[in-house]
Amino acid sequence: MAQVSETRVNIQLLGPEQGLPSRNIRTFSQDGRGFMWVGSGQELWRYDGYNFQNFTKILTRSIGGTPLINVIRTDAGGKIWVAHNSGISVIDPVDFTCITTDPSPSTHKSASIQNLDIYFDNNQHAWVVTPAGRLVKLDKNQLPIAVYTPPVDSKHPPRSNPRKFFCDSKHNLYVSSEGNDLEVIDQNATLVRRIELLDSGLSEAHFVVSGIAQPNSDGLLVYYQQKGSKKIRTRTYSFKKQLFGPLTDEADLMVPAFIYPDTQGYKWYRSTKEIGFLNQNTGKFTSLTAQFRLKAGSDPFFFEGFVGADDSFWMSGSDGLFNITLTKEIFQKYLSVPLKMPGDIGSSIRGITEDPSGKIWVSSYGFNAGDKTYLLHRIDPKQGSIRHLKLRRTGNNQSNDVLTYKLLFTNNLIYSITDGTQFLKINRATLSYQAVEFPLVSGHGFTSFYQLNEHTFWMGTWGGMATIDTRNLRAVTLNDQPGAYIKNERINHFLTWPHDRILVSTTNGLYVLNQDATIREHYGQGPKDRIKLPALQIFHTTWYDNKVWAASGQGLIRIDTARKEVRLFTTQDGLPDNNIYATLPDNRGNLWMSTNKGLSQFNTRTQKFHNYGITDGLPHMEFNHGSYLKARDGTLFFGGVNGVVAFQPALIDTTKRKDLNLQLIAYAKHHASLNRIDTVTNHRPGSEIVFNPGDRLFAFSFMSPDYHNPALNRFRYKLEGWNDDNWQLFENGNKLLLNSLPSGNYKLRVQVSVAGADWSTHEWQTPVKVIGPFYKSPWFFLLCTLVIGMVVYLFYSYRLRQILHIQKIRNVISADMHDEIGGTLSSITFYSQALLMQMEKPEHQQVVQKIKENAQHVQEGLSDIVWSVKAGTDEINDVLARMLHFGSELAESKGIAFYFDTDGRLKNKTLDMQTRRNVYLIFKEAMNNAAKYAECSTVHVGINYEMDKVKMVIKDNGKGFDSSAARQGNGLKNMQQRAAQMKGQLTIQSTKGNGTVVTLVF
Amino acid sequence: MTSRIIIFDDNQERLSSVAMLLNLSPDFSCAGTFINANNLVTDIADSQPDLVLMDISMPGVDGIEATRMIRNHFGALPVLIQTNFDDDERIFDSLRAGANGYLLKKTTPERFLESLREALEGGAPMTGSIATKVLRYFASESQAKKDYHLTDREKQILGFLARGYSYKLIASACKISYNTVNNHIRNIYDKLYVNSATEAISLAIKERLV
Repeated sequence: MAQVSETRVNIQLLGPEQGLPSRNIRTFSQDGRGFMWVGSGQELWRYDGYNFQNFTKILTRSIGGTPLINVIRTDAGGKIWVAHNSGISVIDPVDFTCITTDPSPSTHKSASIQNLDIYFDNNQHAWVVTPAGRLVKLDKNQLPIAVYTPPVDSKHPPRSNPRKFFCDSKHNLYVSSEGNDLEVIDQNATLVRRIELLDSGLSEAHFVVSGIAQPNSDGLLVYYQQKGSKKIRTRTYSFKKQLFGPLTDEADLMVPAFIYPDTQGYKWYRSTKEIGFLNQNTGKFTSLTAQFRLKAGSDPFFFEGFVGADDSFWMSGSDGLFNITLTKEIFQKYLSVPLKMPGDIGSSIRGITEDPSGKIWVSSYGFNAGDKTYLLHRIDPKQGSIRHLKLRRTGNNQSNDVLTYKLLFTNNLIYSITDGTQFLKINRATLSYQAVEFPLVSGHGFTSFYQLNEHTFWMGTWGGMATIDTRNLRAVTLNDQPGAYIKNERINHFLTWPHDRILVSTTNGLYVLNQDATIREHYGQGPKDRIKLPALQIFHTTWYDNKVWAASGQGLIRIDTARKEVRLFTTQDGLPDNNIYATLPDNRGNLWMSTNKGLSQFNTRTQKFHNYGITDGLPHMEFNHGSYLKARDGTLFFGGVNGVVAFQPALIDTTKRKDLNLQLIAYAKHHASLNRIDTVTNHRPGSEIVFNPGDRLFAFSFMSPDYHNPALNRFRYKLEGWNDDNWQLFENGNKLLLNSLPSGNYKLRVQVSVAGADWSTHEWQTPVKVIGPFYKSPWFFLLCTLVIGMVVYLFYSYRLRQILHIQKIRNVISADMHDEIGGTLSSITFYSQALLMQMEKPEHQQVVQKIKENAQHVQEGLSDIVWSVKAGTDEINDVLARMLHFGSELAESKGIAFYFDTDGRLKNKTLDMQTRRNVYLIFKEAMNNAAKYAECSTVHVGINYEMDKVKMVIKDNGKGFDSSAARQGNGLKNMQQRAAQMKGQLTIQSTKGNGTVVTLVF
Repeated sequence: MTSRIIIFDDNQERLSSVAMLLNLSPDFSCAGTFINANNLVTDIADSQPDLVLMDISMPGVDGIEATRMIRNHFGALPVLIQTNFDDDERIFDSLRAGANGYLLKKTTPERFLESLREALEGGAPMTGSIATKVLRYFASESQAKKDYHLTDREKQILGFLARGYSYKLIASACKISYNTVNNHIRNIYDKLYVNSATEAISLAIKERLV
């Protein structure tokens, strides 16, 4: 019975709840890209399958005022023509440019311009209907090239405006204005002839013209009805012969105002009040008017309709927009209820088993039939019938509700496990059962059932395994038994395995068991496991194409046990959901999987998925664990929350769906600094999208012109130039959000999977350029580095030059000073000496001696200054040598014993100019004090390096002074100041008669 | 008998003050003062000095070149270099050119006369910074010039000098006489000069080879 393919009708109403601006939509049209343009009086909207967007601005900007929209039409190039009270506007649906012209010929200018309708003939010329029944033919530039004014004579009074147009192969126009004749107009807009639709015979028989339609390009079909009769008759009119055919009875149940053929073999019939479709293969006409009445709640009124790019039928009416899709019924449903209202709950299915006669036994959690609830059902697939059954406990006339799970059949017995902890032995004839209670600790009961041999059954539980021998019906739970059994793990499925072994699916991977149920091998994630699995929660396994296919909680796992190769398929690869309950092979290379989000078909050869949902005829989306069956005739059964789905995989053809171009609806970016979102809706396909620095949160939204169920459409993208070569699914339906992108050039590629179909071969792609902030670009970095380097270099070279310059000046000054002043001073001393040698009087000699000494003193000081500012003498050794030289010379001249000890560790120490000078001058002052005032016989100088500090001690054995009483002489004060200047510590210890110790630590 | 001294110096004041001091001292007489060394050979030939006081920086022929000319033309005529700085680079060059020693211009008149006397007696004054340079110069010498290496004693004395020791201190530290120190220094001077001469010869040979 499932072989008869019926047609499923899915009617989708778009009303204000979906964002439609007004319920009463008189005109709408689909543009060349697949967007729906909707006119509601004064506004123009666009629908993309997700949202309605107002685009009235395009018109108001072009017209310079508010339009009153009469019709929206699409030309052959996909452009949108809008006829309104200010002229004709043609909108490019890609870049939204709009050209408005006024087609009314200047000679016919009237106060009120009105453009009522547009008709495109075979030549793609537009004919615009204007008041008084005139027709204006426009060229490609929307300019009038011909005007047709209906001739008025005694026989033909002024008529109403033309309503319908037909075109023959000679490009003659057949214009109907709801009268009893047709005006035939040629391309020059001149009347060729009139066709009388009602000849005298028909008039006399009280026939009236009830409709006229063009079923094909050869001619017209004129509908007649006799007054007072509902019977419909037709006459064909042949364009070629210009003749009517005979009057015939029409099987159609309605008189169409328009007929719209699709490419799938259906013809849509529409009048203002009725809607239906004809299956051309079967000749069967289906009226949908009643369904519409039900959906809208009142008699519908239809304005316009057309077959969309996706072959679905679109209609506008007084209740909104309708989208009607037709699909072939492929899924047979059992035990399901129509889920019309929210809250409708179907019957959840537990187990499905086939008996030797081909009948299918189904265990449910309860299905209401009549006033009773049944838990066990038997389907006869050949008859398409179902029987509800009740089990009885043996020796008990009352029926006991017991939820069987899986049944296994022997000659006249049925063995079953319950959803609880009972094992049942059922008499097939009487349906009375004997129960064996298993002492299961977990209490959750059984999860799987397997017949090992004639009399041994294995059972999986929520925690471990159980066995029973039908000869003695002794329950054994292996959790309690010593030995290598699967213990305390949920067992989901048993599969017969080569070499008399059994492959067991558990929540901890797969086990290979021996006949005695002991573990032989384990596949999982343990270190010793021979085959490593990407997921441990395994619900079901099947052996197909020499591989194990495991349905897991994380996707479909393909296990090549010979090569030890494992591959995981997930939603990334096209699965509707990663939770797979069962996977069953068909005979054409496909695996069928039940998931939490519908059914999925996986072609093992092409590795592509095709997914099925409610719109494909499934009674539900959520399937149940353990609820599956492949019948011996190849029919697949899957149970879920609303009954059983049965289908012959061979009858399902997934190849015929149109592959339509997906389109960008809009892209947006957030301008961070301005806190503004810029949305671009008029992106030209393929042109570069540029994001500027500061742009964040890039959002793209896409649509497919396949409107069957936009919510099911999935999109994926690949960003070339990014580090990821994989396709990534959109996380937000049809929206792609990218938080930010590093600067660079990318290529964004997007593909769509319409409903459950495979990824489209057409893809949307466009180059994307992200301009980095200028401070992140390489050249800026380079420039910065160069500039900084240059500045640093210039600064340092300037500093260096400055320093060198100062140094040079200093050296020049000191050299000059030394040369000039020093030279002169030395001359003074020489002259003084010369004078001294001639003088007799000691008092005169004293004066000259003073002059000489002073000059020498100044010379000495000068020498010290020049030395101390001179560059290149910063080694401490240099200071020490000078100190020793000075000290020894002074001591020599005064006859004092001089000891000078230095620390070897000082060798490599350097002193800055200031310190060098101060140390030397402090030493000199101390030495001078000792030599001049202390009346000492020895001076010890020790310079040591202790704890990172230099310590200089100058000790004499002279008369000393009372340091507390001593007036702070200029010399001592100078020493203190110098010590402070170099951040050193100077202590002078002296007591009368015990010499003086000067200590400098720095 | 008085020693005849001539002076080359571009500073007129220096020339007259030194000349006056010399002429007033009993042991010396100034046999000539010259503000440049451009006519050095005739000047010396005419004045017949016992010792030449030579300023380093002079316009035209400088003190170093002048010293070299004296060595070429007048054999061992003692030359004392006069300078403002004891770390003047050119002192070392003049020593290598054959100067017998040097005097700082700031030297006291008493010491100045004493130094002249010492120089005439064969003494060789040297200060710490020059000693350092001498040590460094010989240390960097190649093995080929082995003959002119400083002796250990000479190195020791230069080392003391470099550390600021006076001749007297060196004499007591090395337990040798003051004159011995002087002799050593003079030997060092000779080695400097001979060395520089051989350098010049080897350079000349090299140039000819090329």
